[in-house]
Amino acid sequence: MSEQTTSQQATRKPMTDDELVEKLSAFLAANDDRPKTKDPKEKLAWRRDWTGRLYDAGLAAPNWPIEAGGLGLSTSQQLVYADLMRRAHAPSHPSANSWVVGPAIVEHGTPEQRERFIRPLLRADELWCQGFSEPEAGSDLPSLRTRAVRDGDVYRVNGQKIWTTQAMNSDWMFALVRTGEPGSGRAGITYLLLPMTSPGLDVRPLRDIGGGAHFAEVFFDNVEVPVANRLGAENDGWKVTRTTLGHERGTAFVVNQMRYRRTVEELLTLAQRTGALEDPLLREEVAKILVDVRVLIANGSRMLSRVLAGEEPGPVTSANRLFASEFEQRLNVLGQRLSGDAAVLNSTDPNAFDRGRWAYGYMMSRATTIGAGTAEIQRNTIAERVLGLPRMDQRPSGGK
Amino acid sequence: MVGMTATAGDVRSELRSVLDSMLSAHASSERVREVAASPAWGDEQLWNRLTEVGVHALSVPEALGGAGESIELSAVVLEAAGAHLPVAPLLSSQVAARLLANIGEPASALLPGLLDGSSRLTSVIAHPGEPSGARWPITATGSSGEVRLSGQYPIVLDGADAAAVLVQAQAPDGVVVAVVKPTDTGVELGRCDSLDLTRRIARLSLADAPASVLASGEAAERALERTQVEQAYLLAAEQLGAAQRCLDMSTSYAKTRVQFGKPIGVFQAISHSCANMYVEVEATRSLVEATGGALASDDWDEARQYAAALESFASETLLDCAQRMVQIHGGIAITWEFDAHLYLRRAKSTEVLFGRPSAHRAELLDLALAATEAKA
Repeated sequence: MSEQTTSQQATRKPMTDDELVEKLSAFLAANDDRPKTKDPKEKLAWRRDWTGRLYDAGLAAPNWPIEAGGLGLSTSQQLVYADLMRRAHAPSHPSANSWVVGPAIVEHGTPEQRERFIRPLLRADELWCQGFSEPEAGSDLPSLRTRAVRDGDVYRVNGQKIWTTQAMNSDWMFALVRTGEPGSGRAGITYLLLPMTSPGLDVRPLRDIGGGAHFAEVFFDNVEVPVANRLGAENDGWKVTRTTLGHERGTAFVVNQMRYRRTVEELLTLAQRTGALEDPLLREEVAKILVDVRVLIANGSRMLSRVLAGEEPGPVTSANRLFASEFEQRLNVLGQRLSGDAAVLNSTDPNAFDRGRWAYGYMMSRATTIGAGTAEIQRNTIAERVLGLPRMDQRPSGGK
Repeated sequence: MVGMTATAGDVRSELRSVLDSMLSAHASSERVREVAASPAWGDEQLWNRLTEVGVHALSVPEALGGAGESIELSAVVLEAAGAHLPVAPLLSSQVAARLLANIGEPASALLPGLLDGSSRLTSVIAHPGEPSGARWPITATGSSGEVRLSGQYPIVLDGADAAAVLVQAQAPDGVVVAVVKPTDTGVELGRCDSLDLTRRIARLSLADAPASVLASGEAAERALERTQVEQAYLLAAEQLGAAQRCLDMSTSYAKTRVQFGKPIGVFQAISHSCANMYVEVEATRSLVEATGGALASDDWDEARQYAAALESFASETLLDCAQRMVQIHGGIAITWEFDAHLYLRRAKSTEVLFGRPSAHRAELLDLALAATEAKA
């Protein structure tokens, strides 16, 4: 990239290991001010503010290249970074989708778009939501139908998105819309950036299976989006969705490993407390979960050692993803079973074990084999891309 | 702790490729079937080739005359054996070599024959889920140096044709490891009909048989505890090789077998079955690497827990993969001529060898609970 897109990191040089530890430790010590509040709005406001301070200290986006506005840390430095953040109980960026749209803007955006969007994205001044799925386009995302028609300097957008996570809290949406002929598949899709305050845009929260409201339906009634907010060329949006930036894969492992080890401790504590380990069949089920956790950690170790050796993490990534999504369900099914009588309590009941995590986890983990690629689609992907079995288009037709 | 140095990885991949070409050439399906159907203890020509490559004492310390390599290289040998199913006592002799290595100096007299391939050793040691202490089925009388063994053990890998059997025995004052030869008085090692046609097994009966002691007391306990974990790891590596082969055969068949005018791999009933095998095989491979890494770096607590997880998982992976392979191949797979049944036989017999999956899981749970208590 020839042009500097963000102001604050213009003169950044790669940090040495010592500089990183010194600078980040000092920042974390000086910003250890998590509020005691339980109010979600206040908590979110603090996370946004904290993320802004992190950026202003020149410590945001550890895995992004320096020229894109990140720190350009090596994989081993990213592990150090993740570990320091975890130990300090630092908040994560309040909008996970920022790490999806950010790289797309860096890679496919115009200089004006990069200048306009990247800084507020990294500072969490602006939060993003993703408008991809539609009622009739889930696993078959390229069949999406939300229509965008060019009218001078704007696109007029009509249609509906669904399962839009955090739509209620977001300032902007990145959306895939149909600009080609109906039925044009991947070749007729355009990538748009649009404010959630656009006239004609209506957000209707959906209550999820656990009773909360994390996602929403979003309706478009003649919403005008400036052509200047198109990312990439018209009908070239599918390619834009494939963007990744930097190498962030190692750090997720560190966080997950700690989480899995804690899960084992919680499960064993629960089993002991309820006397479930006196039942040989439940012992066996608990032991199976322990084996699963070893698999997850061993898979993660293997991916990480490849990344550290400068290689791609390899196809074990897709195997692990499927294993992990099904593991979450097995874990919570068992957690509820071990809870015994208490499993009839909703997660909100003060007498539910572990502050209701098993009841809530049981309900919410049904989504782990649905969201971001169903288990069936993941198996298709493994079969086709890893094992080289014949592709979907050679499959028998669906009988239309 | 993550992974090993590039050099160690290079040595492993070099050994893997040497063994793979050797076994592809000299352990073809025809050859394996020919040796399996013969009364021979195994494929002597192949054994000699393996001896030339130096596989027998790979992980035995140099001080004892071995190559002093990591046990991860022994795992590579067994992974290749699992893929090709040669009729050769590789698992039994690698485990025996580990037991000798763990005993150390007192076992050095047995090393030369092991190294040059002339003396094939096997062992009988306890595994998870078996009675221990006074209830262990083989007892020793007498004291240090020479003892007399009595008792029976139903399964000895390659026992009928071994030069010697290393036997765990319970003496009045503790456990010992002693050596018996099939030709000794009071030793009976009769070959059994093996479900696994490519592995020889024997039944051991000992009636006041004279035996020399290699280790006793704490030294024996330590060596046995360690070997028990290592034999689970080595068997799992063999199972990994076999499971990978089942997956490879299945995907290859799913690409070429045409029904309803299409390769059967387009049907999700088939392709998802292959994907399930892949997830299991990759998980097993990760566990093999993690266990090998923990053993190589002497992280003993981790090694024990990983090995228990691994052996339960690898057994079930191979069984599932072999059964899926049979189903995916359809009619051809239930014929004698097709190799599927060789893997199915290996799968079902190794599922219980060195302990049932549930016994390994029980072991893992006990270790995890002990670790949590130690922490609290």
